[in-house]
Order: sequence, then C-alpha cells, then structure tokens
Amino acid sequence: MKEINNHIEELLVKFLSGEATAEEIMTLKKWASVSSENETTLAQYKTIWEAASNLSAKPETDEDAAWKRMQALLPDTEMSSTRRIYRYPWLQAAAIIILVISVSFLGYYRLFKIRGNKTPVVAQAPKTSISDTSLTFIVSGDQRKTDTLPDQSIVELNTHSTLTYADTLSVASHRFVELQGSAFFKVKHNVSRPFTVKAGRLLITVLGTSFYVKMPADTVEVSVETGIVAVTDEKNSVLLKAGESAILAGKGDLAYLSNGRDNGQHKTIGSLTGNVGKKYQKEPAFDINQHPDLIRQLMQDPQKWASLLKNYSPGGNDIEFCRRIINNVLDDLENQGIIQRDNVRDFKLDGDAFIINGTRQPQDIFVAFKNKYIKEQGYVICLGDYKKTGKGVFLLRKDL
Amino acid sequence: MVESHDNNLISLIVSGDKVAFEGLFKAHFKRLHAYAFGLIGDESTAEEMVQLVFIRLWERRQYLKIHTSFKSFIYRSVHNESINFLKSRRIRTNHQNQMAGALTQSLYVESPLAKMELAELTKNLRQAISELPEQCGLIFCLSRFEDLKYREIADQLGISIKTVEAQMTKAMKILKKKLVA
Repeated sequence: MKEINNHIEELLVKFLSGEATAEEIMTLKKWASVSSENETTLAQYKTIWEAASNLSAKPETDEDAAWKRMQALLPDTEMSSTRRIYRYPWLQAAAIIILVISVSFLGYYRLFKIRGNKTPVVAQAPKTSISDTSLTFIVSGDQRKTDTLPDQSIVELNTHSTLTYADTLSVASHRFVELQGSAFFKVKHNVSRPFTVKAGRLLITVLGTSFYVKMPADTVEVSVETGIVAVTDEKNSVLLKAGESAILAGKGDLAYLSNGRDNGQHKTIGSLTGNVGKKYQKEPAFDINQHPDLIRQLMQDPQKWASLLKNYSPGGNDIEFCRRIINNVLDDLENQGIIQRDNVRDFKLDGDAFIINGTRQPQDIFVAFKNKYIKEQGYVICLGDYKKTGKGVFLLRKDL
Repeated sequence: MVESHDNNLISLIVSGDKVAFEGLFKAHFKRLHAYAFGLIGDESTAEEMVQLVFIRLWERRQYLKIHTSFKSFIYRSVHNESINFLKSRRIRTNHQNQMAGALTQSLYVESPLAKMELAELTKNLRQAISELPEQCGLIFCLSRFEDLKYREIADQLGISIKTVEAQMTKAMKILKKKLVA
C-alpha cells in the first residue's frame, strides 16, 4: 500500500512539473477517478505547487540601482579585506562633523556644540541667520515616544532618550541622526541615501532595515531585526545581519554576537581588535577645521566620506603628506633667512618649542611656526630620528 | 557558454577586479533577487540577502574557489542565507517584546480579511519551504522559483535527474503534510 502511494506521489509531482509521459498522466487520471479522496489530494498538490510558483512572482528590481545600493556597503576596493580597521581613534568624531557638512557647511558648528550636552528640553533649536539648517530634538520623558522622521523612518525612543537630527534629513544624501539612550529604528528603505546613527562611540549605518540601539551607562548595544547594518567604532567595522548584535562596552572593543538575544545566552564570537581602545578617551576631539585638505576632499565628493575618512591621515603614515609638511617648513625657514634647508639635520616643532639641529629657536620664530603648523594640542612635526609619540608628522631625513 | 563567462569573471574577481564583480552582480541580481523573494516574501530583505552573499564573495575573493558551477554556488548561497535569515527571525528577539508598544503594532499592518486565506497559505508555505532539508529545499526552489526543468537542475547542481525527481517528490510530500492539516 505504501509502495503504491510513493509511486503516485512521484507521478503527481512529475505531472505538475510537466515531466510526466502520456502514459503516466493516464495512470494518474485513473487513480484520481477512483475516489474523491484521491481527487482532493490531486487538487491539494496542485494548489501547493501553484502557490509555490507564485511566491517569487514580483516586480523586477533594477540591477543598476541595486548595484549602487550595494556599493555603499562594500569595503573599499583599495583596502584588502583584512584592513577594515580604522587606524585613527578620532575618525568617529570626524564623521559626525563631516556628515553635517555634507548637509550644510555652516551648520556643523551647531551640532558640534550640542554634542555632549545634557538632554535639551527644547523641541527645536532656534534658527540662526548664518545657517539654514536647524536641529530637531525628539526627547522622551518617563514614557516611550514614537515619531516619524522627515525621511519617513520610524523611531521608537525608550524612556529618557534623545534623538537629534538636522532638518535637512529629508533631503540629505546621507541621513544622519544622533542618539542618546535607547531606541528601536525602522529605517525607510532608500535607494541611495545611507542612514547613520551615532550612538556613543559607535556609528551605525544602514540602508533600510530595523534595529535596536541600547545605551545603558557606558555600553552601546546594537541588535538587528531585519536587514544589514554596518557598525563602526573608532577602529573596527562589522556587518551585522538579522538576529545579530554588537556590543561596545565602556572603553573596550567592539564585540560581535550572533543570534545572541534570546534567553540572554549571548555567545561572543570574538572581539575584533587589539587594545587601542583606551587611547581614544585621552585623545582630543578631532577638529576638522584644522584639516582644510580633508574638508576640500569631502566637499568635492561628500558621498565618499567613509572611505575618505578611513584613508585620511593628517601626518600619520601618509609619507606624501609628511613630505609636503616638512618641505613647507624647510621652505619657510629658508625663505625667512633662518637657515638653509640643506643645513637642517633635524628639527622638532610642537606646542612647546621649535628645535633645529638641537638648538632652541627664539620665541618669535617659534610662535610664528607654531601658529602656522601646529594644528592641535599634542601635534608634533619632526624631521630626523625622533621617537614617534602621539599625533603628528614624523619623517626621517632619508625619506625626504 | 554563460557558465564559462562567469568563470572568466570570477578569475578577474579573484585578482580584485571590481568591474568584473559589478558585471557578475548585475548579471545575476534579478534572478537571485526573485529567488530570495520567493523564500522571504519581502523585497528589501530579499535584496539584502543577495547583497550579503555578494559582499562576502567580494571580501573573500582571494580565497574564492568554486568547485561546482558558479550558478550552483550562488543560488545555494542565497538559499542558505535566506533560510538562515528566516530562522533567526523566527527566534523572536527579546528587545521586540521589550518595545512592545504602539510602534510595533503600527509596523505590522494586518492583511485585509478578504486576502486572509491566500495570505495565510503563502505565509505557511514560505515557512514550510524554509524548513525543508537543505538540498531538498534548494531543488524545490530552483524548480518553482526559477522554473527550471529537472534536467537543468540536475546539470546545475551536478546531480542525477533521478535525485532531482526524488527530492521534488519528497519536498511536495513534506509540504502537503505540513499545509494540509
């Protein structure tokens, strides 16, 4: 009996897929006519078969547009897959500013000022005459608050949380918001406008998806409900998909959890980094104003902000950059009749002194050079065999 | 012919050629998207499944070794990615419950009553398909979503027609059992 059933099932499927022979179809017809039960079975098979065929029927999506959307998620071509690590702790701070720049160049002062302040009570920051961009705050008190953002994304703020965004959100080519507290986001899917949430030290970038961000005390936690989310701290970038989470605790490293949210049984797959994290807290904030070349690059190509930032190095490992700076200093020294450039064996310029060939320069020369070249506190420009400390330009004579 | 074109593209991709990668993506996107949509039933999630597979392919391009045909490889990847997604979605996340509020309700608009039956069948069918054994599910989906003949599925996966037939029978048997209570 079971043997026959198996045979019939095989025939049913063959028939439905159009692979049955005329003889087999006859056999099947005969079988179906034996009882109403058999007839029903045939009908059920047919229904399931057709329903399954219709599952994939849908309007076709344009592959060019799809490619553009995906490109935004691809790691840089130039960078090998193992180098998805941010070298510079302050990059994350830079990103905030850049994102606002891409909205309104003048507007970024305002966002920058607001960062780190206590939750504002005002619903909207007053407009100023110099900028057409103003910031909106969504603030939740003792109750959760749900709101639709200008781009139609939906945010549900947990209690005592704040979301800040520029009013240009609906038109910006890169949507950017900043969160303090916890929130669930359902981001409006958009063809070419990534959506980034800044939460503590993390930047969370999505295309159109829903996810949850929680920031109890010193920890930032991101859980993805649907879609893909790129989570970036100052050093790392990790792609999360549905069911996955990432946690950044205190000053520690970004940890990645897979399907980690049920029963509290988080399984940490791995921390992705070394221990550069602590350094970040001591670093002064990156002030993009001091890096006109970066601003220029960003203005030219705001879409590429992420890779520009990743690759930008104000006197780190970029030897061309170091050479340019050192040569500028040497040219200035020569032009001002202080010393011939070929006579400079080594020099060190920082916020405290200007020492050439071991000789401390007079105050007026030092101040002039300091004002011109020292971009921020702790920045050092060295030629010669100086120990590399902190941020700045370090170049050996032979590399000049 | 198509297959050898794919293989040419892949050797270029291994050496880091992004244009070749773009070509490969664009050549397969529509079909793969439709395939993932068949399993998941949501366009943007389906697109993300395809994205994930291609992103991974790009990230691991140096180690790329495809023993079977590229088509077989890529469909299998999208299939597994989608199934994994559906599984993880099924495991209801805690935070959703935490956030159970007006929003959650507004996000999931209920289907109109008239469409209930078909919608219900579609939903249950997707669920049932996603629970099919791996190879069985892949073969079934290639047949139904891609409208491939047994012969074509067999060629693509490098298996016999008899196996395809057996797996299709098995798939339908399981589906009927689950759907017709």
